[in-house]
Order: sequence, then C-alpha cells, then structure tokens
Amino acid sequence: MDSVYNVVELIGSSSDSWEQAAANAVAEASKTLRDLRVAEVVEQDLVVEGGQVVLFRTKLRLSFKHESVE
Amino acid sequence: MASDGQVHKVIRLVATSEASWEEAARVGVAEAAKSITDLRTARVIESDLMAGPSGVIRYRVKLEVSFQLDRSRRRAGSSETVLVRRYLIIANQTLPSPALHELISVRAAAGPSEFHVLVPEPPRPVLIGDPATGLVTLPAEEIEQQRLLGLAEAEERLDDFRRAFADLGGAVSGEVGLGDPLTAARRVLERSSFDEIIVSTLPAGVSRWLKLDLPNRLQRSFDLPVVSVVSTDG
Repeated sequence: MDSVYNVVELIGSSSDSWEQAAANAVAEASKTLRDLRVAEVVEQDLVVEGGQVVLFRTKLRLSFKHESVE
Repeated sequence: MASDGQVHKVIRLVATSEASWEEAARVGVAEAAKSITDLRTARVIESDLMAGPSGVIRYRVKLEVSFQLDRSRRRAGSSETVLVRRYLIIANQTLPSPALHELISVRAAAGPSEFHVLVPEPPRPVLIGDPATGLVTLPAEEIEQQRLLGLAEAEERLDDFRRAFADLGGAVSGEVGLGDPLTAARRVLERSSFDEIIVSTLPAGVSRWLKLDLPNRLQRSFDLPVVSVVSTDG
C-alpha cells in the first residue's frame, strides 16, 4: 500500500546529555503527533558558558504517517 | 550563525573519554577554553569509539568550535562589554627577566589586558658526528632525554611566570609550543587573536632568535606590531 509521510525537524536540549536532549524533543513532539516511529539525529552541538558546557542540543528529523482528512 | 559585521574563527578538535561522548565533549571544551576566551558553541562533526585490546571503549568526539575574533569580550561575572587588549609574549630563557616583567606591568596598568605566553620548544641538541666514520655518537635515548628535559624546564619557567603575575589572575595564560618559534606562534595565532606580539630575547650576538631575525619575521608573517625586549639574563 502506498503511504505518504510528513517530516519535521525538532531541536531538544538538556544540561545532561545528547540522549536526554533527544528524549525531550520526542516527548514534546508526541504531545501533538501520533504514530511516531523513528527519529533520525541530524545534528548535535553544545552551548558553552565560561569555558564549561552548559547545554547539549540534539536536532532530530521525525517522520510520521500522513493522515489525509476525508 | 555570525551576526553582521562579526568575524568568527573555526577550529576542530578531537577529545576522548572512557565514560561518554558528553564527557569527551566536556574535556575538549575545557581544554579549548584554556586558550580561547570567547567560546560560545561547538558542533559535533563526528562521534565514534575506539575499542582497546582489553575491551575498554573510549568514546571519541570531533568538535567544530567557533569563536568571535573581535576583541571586545565580556568579563567574567559582568555583563558589560569591554575592549580587552591581548598580548602574545614569546620568551624562553628571559621569561623571568625584570625588563619583560616591567613591560607587562605597564601594559596591565594601562587598561584591561590579557597575556598569553608562548615558550617555544627548546632547540634539539646539535649532533656531532665522528669525523672518521661520520657516525653520530649521541644515542637516540639521550637525545630524547635532553629534549624532554628542555620541555620540562620550559614548563617550569612558565609556572614561575604565572606565579609572578598571580595577581592578574585569569588574564595570564601560557603554553609550551612545539616546533620552531615561528611555527609555534602561527599555531597560537590560528586559534586566537592578539593586538601585539612581545618578543623577549638575550642580547644580540648571544640570542639565537635575533640571529634568526625573529621579531621582523613575526611582523612580516602576521602583520601585528612586534615589540622586542632584550635582557642579559633571567
């Protein structure tokens, strides 16, 4: 069966880890999107203040099935 | 992203940790922050891991660090932006010399300043071959030993210097640079910007750096004002 998918990009952040940053982004996305399956890590970076890492950021590409409104 | 009119410089670094990629990144950033004062963000270019023979895994992360090249910096603990003048000091034997210390004190008193000391690696021992055989008699281990000794002495001079200017606190940093003085200076200038280079040497005739015309070569290579300080001894 043919399917169509939507793709969105999200950036999550966490002071602990890139994993937690990704989890935060997915948790947030799941509030509004149904049937989330796979998230691809697009980019990881970090924010520095005073020579210390203060934030880990993970950019995710999330795809979910397109539901046509009929 | 760089905002209009600002120049950013980018360097790459690789760091490892046995704990996690995050820890590796923290280590890398902390190390980079020693010589780069205005570090804001770092992007992960690559993360991989290395498996040792005993099954130990080291997490490795390659980071791209970007920082601003303009010299107005925020001072620690304050939100105001001040213009800080940055000085690169190139010295080895004459690092303890009063003439150099005087020059630094005058600059520190003139306004907000930061000083980075580069102690270039001491020259390798000259090898003297046996005239009959042409063979070099100094064993390799001894050459290596002399090299390590030279590096240790350089580190020690640097520590003494930091102690002498302890009242300037974080405004003084330093490193022992590998390679000849010009190469070592280029490495420092690739990752940081300065307003002036201060070269401290022994008197003409004794100084190897003056024989190499180091002050003029630095000026030509980097287009920065170069000030020479000559001292008889530390």
